[in-house]
Amino acid sequence: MRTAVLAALLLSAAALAASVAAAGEVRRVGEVQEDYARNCQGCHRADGLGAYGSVPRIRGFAGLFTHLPEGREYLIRVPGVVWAMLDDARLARLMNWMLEAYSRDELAPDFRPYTVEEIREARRRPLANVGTVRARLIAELQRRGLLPPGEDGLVSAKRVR
Amino acid sequence: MRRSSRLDRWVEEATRRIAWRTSRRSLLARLGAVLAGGALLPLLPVDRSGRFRQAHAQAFAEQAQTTDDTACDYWRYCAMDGYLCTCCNGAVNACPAGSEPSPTSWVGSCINPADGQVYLVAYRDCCGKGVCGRCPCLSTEGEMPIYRPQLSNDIDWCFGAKSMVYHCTAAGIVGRA
Amino acid sequence: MGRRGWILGTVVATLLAGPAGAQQDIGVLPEQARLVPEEEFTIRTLPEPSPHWVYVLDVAFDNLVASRVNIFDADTGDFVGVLHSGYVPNVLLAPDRSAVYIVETYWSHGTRGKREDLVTVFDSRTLEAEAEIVLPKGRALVVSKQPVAALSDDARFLLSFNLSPATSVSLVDLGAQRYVGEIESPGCSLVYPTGDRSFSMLCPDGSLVDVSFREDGSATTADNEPFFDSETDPVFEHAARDSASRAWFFVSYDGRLYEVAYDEKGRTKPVDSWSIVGKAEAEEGWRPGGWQLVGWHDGLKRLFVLMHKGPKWSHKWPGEEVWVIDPATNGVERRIALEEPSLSLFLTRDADPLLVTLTETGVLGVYDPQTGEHLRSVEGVGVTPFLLDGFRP
Ligand code: HEC
Repeated sequence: MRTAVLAALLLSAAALAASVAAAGEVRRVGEVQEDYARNCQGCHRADGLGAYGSVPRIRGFAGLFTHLPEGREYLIRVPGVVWAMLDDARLARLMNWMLEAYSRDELAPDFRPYTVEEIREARRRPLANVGTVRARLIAELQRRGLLPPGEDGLVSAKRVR
Repeated sequence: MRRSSRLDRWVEEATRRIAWRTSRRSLLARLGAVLAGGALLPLLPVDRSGRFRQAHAQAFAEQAQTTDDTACDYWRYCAMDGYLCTCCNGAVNACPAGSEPSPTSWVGSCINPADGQVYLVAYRDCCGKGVCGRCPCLSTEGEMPIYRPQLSNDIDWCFGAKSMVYHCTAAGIVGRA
Repeated sequence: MGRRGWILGTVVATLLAGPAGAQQDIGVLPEQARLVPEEEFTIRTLPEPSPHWVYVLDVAFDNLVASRVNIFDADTGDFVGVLHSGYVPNVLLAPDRSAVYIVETYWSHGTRGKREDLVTVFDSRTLEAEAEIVLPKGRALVVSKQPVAALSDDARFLLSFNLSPATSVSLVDLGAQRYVGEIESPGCSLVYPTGDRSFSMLCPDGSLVDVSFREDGSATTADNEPFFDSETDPVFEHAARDSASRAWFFVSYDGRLYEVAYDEKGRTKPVDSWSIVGKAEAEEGWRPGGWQLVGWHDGLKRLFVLMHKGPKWSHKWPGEEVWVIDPATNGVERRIALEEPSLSLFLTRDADPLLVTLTETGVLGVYDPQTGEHLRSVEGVGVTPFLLDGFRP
């Protein structure tokens, strides 16, 4: 009986030690990454690759829109951004971090980070026809040679798990 | 524990019945009420929304355990909603044979009572097979109607999978908050 | 092996017997083999659907890819017929009683293979699938809820909500039996018809967006201010509509009732709201809940809401009572205690209405909505049934 209790105690101590050790190995994420994880990652994924045919990839792609004046505005008027459960300042920080982290190479050379005012103003005007605007911008990017024909960040996304 | 025949009936009914993410709640609630001697909430709080998140994660952690990942009160399941893949011969971070993890997920944060740390947990549906039907863990704490899609329980979250047929839900660690 | 040999043998024998056998007159049977059927075999056709027939959608959680619509006569409890349907379908009934439209999803090999989303048009009397209209943009895969699909007021168009997870609405011309196109949405969900060519959708911030469309599928949208707090007290998806005034009634988790009226152009008018739960009842924990939890009857001009006692976030618990509400006086007129806690309710649409309730174990309760009297219960209407509907008279 007593040995059983002792064994149980030892076991739970070992389990605790093991899980603490495990915790030590788990990476701590920053505040802005956490905002991304909670609000965007469910659809766009931690690796920014999106989901085949359903969600566009951010990685190596989203920055391209900043080459077009309408595209800069487009990025902050899509539903995922407009309706995010974050205040304007945190959303501005998240957008700027996200573009830098996942799509720095595609950003326009003269890209200026989004301001809080810009975000606030855009959120008042959610895009009613996201698909149409997106298709037009993609066509324009292709016309300018910034995107190869057939590439749209959506069905071109590889199937990933 | 002595079981009343009434409870037996409920348990039997509960195991016989099949539900996904919805109606099961009330049965569990009634069960919970019986088990806790009439006290109200069963231990299934979830919160995926900003405002209620912390409080529920805290309350859940206080009652959670860290050893049995096939029970609804396992610490990672603070925002769980669906059939546990761990009961379907999958794992907390693996889909059962023949099913496919959805590329998309929903993210909650749970406290691990073993170390008191907050972890971000990605709940991912396994797809492409019929409903597994074992170990339903459902909660409506903080659950919102489908016009707030990320906080709704009733949406099949197999977007981007080869087949969107829902099988079960797993819970992988994203990182420490 | 042995079996294959046998089949091969048969084929060879048939081939050898070929020419001679083919020349025989196969129409004439030997005298002793002529069995005259005592009974003729026919196919039943249903009579004109009664307004008291209830169409019960059983989503079949144990096998979601094979749901069904069981039809029961609420007057007698008799089984009338069944329609088989796909993954988390929506069921819509033609106002002229001619057709049942099922918006559904299939995979070519059951749970896998090629996905197909379609509107199937069933004849309401033969229960045969008369037409299929493919939805190329898919449909929202959500545990079946009524406002995921709707008919325009003139029933010419069917509107089906898409969540891919981008949000939009597919427009189907039922007159021409063809898919017209996709109407875009600014991230808002569900379909609440507001006229022949207009509908509203609920947005994440607690506002409605008003959409008007033309027959070619082109559309314009108009935003509104939020009318409820979507963070703390959201409205349920299931809502009820007064066909005469065309107002929609939305109920919130905590029991606030919002009456949304529309002008002729389908534009939202300022919203009236009040709480159906009084102070004393709130202290007892009364709140609305269930699945299809609200109903309306045009003749009685009353709203019916499933209510239970429970804590915050118990919004899916089944109702113990049905509260009957008169929107003209903003009062709870009657409380009907139910025989069994119920998830869904429905008011038949005729002048002599029945209140029909549904438990999660598949029992229909039939009540007189004016007296609250329990008339009968019908068991076994489904394994995991969720939704109820019935034709207009
Ligand atoms: C429910 C799934 C979902 C969530 C959550 C989501 N998005 Fe998106 N996002 C989409 C889809 C789908 C599109 C494609 C445009 C559309 O139809 O809405 C998109 C497009 C975008 C775009 C434009 C890029 C393009 O290629 O069109 C940006 C930028 C973006 N999302 C950022 C975000 C951010 C930031 C968050 C979190 C605050 C977020 N999204 C959350 C689904 C989502």
